[in-house]
Amino acid sequence: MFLLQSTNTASIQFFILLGTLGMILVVGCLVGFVIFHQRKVIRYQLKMKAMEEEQQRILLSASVHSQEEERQRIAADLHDDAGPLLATARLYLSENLVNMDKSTQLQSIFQVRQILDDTIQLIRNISHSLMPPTLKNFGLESAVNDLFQKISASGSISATSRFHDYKERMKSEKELNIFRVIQELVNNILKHSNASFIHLIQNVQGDRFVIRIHHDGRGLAQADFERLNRSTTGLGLKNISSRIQVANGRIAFDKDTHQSYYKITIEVPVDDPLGFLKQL
Amino acid sequence: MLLIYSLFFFLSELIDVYELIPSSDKKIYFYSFVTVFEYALFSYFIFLNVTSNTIKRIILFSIIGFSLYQFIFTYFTPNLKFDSVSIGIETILILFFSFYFLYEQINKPEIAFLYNTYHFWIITGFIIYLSGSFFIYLFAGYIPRKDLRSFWLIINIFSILKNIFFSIGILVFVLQLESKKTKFKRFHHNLTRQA
Repeated sequence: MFLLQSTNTASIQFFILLGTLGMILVVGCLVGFVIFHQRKVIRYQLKMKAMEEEQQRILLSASVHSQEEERQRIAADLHDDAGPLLATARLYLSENLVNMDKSTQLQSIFQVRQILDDTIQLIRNISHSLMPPTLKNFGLESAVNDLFQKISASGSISATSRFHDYKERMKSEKELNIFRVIQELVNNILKHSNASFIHLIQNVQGDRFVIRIHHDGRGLAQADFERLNRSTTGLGLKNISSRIQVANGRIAFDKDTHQSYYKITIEVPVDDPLGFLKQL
Repeated sequence: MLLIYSLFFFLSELIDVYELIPSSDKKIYFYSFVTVFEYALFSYFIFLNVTSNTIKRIILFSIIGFSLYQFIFTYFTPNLKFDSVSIGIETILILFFSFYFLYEQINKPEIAFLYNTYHFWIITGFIIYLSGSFFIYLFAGYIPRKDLRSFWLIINIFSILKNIFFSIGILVFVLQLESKKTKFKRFHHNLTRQA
């Protein structure tokens, strides 16, 4: 203040003008920054939303595509296998059968019975591929153990599974989704990884149902999974994503702490028995 | 609240321009009161619109503290012609609260565009007016009265800018209110039609 009192009026006036200009400039810059920053954030959010929508679209299209593929496969099975079998059975049961001698009739009936048994087996196979009976009747643990035993029995790879904490079954749709994810992952490992073993462990961490799959072959890292998920190829991985999303879970691909094995972690929320109360 | 402030500001200008308070001793009490009232209204507006409880508490305490300080400063300082220091403190505090408010707003994901809210225009009005007049009020006591008149023109310009921003804020508020009313009417109309 003393300094100000000793300074002449002209310099004070110059100081005031300069100060006011500086203040307006600083404040203007700050307000401008706030506006531009917000616009930038909004643009980023819109971009993220568009990317999410695109991802959803890809997943939906993959899901539709896989459904169509499944239908085509079933149609082909029915047309190429069940159709000819039933047509052959019909031939055996022609009107001429009544005019034939007893032994020929018995032979024809035996043939028809064989054909019908084959057809029943074929339809059972198709039905099992749509919904594994072990999964339906005994739950995820038995279905996974069954799957791993079959793989192990082939002798080309050692496959083991262990469920540590699976006392109560989850909802059937959720179980089916998890089973299909495991099936797809195991298929991928068998096809692409050249692994010598696959090991699956299940446990519960808090309110999360956790499944970890380890294998010693060539695997995917999280970045690879996300890249393939965004690309137009890799239908199986998109199905995995889609099923995990439906189960409200998450999936992570990484290497274990020793960097020697690949690890896939699936986490889904445990069914809340009192969940319906929250919806009331 | 803006109406109270605008009326009060207009009255204080009238009193100042037409020198309705002739005694310079009483004039300083009037200026002090104007400063306290302006600070209280500006900070109360921010108090109503910030979400942080800490900042709300700081604002409340600052209003009480600032009023006490202003009273003591005005009463006990001899030959005081202008409350420059108080205006300086007022400006710094309001600018701080205003920028905190803007910081809070840009972190709210539900606000699509800041300038579509009436708060933004009112706060920008505060910021422009206070920052533009800060140095002039601060050094008002050191400039001869005849020279001060030329600086008053700058304050008047910033005051006009403040009023323009306030008007835009009121316009945005009214438009939003109208839009809400129309939406409600449409909703009510659809509901009665369905019934």
